[in-house]
Amino acid sequence: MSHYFETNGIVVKYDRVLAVRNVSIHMNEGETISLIGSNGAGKTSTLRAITGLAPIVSGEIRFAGGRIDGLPTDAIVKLGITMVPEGRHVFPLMTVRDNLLMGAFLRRDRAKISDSLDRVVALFPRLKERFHQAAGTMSGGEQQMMVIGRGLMADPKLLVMDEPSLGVAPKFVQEIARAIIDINKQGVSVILVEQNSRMALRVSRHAYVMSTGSVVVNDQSARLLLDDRVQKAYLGEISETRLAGNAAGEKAGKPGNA
Amino acid sequence: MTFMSGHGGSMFARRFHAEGENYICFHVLISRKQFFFGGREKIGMGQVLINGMYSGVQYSLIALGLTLIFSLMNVMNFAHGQLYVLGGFVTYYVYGVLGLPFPAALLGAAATLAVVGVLFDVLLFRRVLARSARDESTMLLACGSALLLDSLFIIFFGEKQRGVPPVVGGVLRIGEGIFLPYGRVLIVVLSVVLIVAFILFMAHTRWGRGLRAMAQDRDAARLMGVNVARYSMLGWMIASVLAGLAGAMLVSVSGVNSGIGTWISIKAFIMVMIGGAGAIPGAIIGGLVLGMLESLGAQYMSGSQYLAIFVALIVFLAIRPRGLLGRQ
Repeated sequence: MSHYFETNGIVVKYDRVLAVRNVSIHMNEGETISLIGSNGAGKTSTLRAITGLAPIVSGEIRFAGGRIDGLPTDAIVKLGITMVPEGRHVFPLMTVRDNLLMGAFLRRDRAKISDSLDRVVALFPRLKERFHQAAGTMSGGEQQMMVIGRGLMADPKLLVMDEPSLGVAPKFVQEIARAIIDINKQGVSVILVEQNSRMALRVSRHAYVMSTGSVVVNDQSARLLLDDRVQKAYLGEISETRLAGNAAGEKAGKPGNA
Repeated sequence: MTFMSGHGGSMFARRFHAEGENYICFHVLISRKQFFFGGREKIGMGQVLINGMYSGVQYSLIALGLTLIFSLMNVMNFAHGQLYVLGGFVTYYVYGVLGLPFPAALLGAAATLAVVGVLFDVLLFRRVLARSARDESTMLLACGSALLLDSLFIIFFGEKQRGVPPVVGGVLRIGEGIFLPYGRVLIVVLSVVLIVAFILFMAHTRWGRGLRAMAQDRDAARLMGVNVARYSMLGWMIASVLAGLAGAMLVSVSGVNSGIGTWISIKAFIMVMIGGAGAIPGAIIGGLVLGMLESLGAQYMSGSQYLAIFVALIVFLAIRPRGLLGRQ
């Protein structure tokens, strides 16, 4: 049987280090799933494999009935999978508007692009005020909203988000969580990678817990949220400190996050 | 003429007189050089500034290509000057030897350099970048390419200084002591048109947006659907064509020879360092500043102007290592 999206036993290697070992995840159309786990668990590498940024050594990735592993990233984007990368990756010298329009790089229909722009602005009204400002001059939270909006500008079927709450002030984390739920309601399937496991478990239906490159637990999010053992064994204290509002300190963990 | 002054005009003059072949065109060059920069006849400040503008505008064209490749690929293209030389030789053959119209020579140079730019990417840089993330690898590759092209130039074009007849004759005279040869005015106008076209292309076209996105964040650009392999090729093409057209135009003023590529590259790097690596306005400002410095230097410290320019550059970089407009 085949799911809307699935990875079957994918393996990702950097040099000789195994970053992802035999990971299989799947989801149905219109769902939100999350990949959680501590730093270095292989979450980002899994996403990079999905979007074609990192090659897989073995396994397969299927989307909407066809294999997508081995395709170049722009072809994967064309099929409807868009990634909102970790660390935001804004185009710092471009205006907010140009950044958003870059999200629609592969689309030609101007009227529809303009519709998407309106939808993004409705989702994040704050961006409208910043429209003509260089994106690099905005705060971390604003940049994060912008790159989520940029992802939506591609009119994706599947939106893949990597650590949208990383380095973001707590009040923005709430806003981003709300936006993810809204995006999903509009019919976009979402894969969410988070170290902030509480936030991820609240917005997703199903979750995969990763540790040292493998999926160690997978279950309904609501159940994992209540499972103390999982919280302690695989997710560490990081989600607690995050909820306590120590968002600024999170940036330190960023470079090593495979 | 300004290129020559740095290279030791007398050396060329001697070689030229010994060989004699292009006497007429080179004689014009030498005499004009003496006229503008000669020790006895001091020229007016207006003329000095105009001369600086001339060179500056064309230098900007060269620096733009270099900074484009640097910001797109993180490659220091030491072979950039050789691309300029190739453009010069295409004009020499198409316009000077075959006698076809000058615009045909420019088109020929643009087409040749577009192909060479693509070959640089596909045969050389793409392969090395795929295997090595170290900056040294591409630097060495660029140096090697420069030497290779220098050698090929010597084999195919010989070592003679080559020039072409002026594209348009006549000199416009403004007031007392300011001379604007129409040939130079023409290529300055063409250069400005090219620079403006390049800026508009980068700012307002889809391809330009893709290139800018790639320069600012390569991974993010890929995630937006930019085909980075194809856009790298486009970048190499544009950069090479800009260098080639600068050479193709300037050959009508200062001539070209197989050996000046490295010197042009060095100048291009100076401009980019002055303006700040990776910034388009920086390349333009750097070009204008170097053109102006050369012109002033030739007037007030003829013979040692490059010593002064290099010393000033070292001091400047010690104070402001990022250049005028550079990012970190």
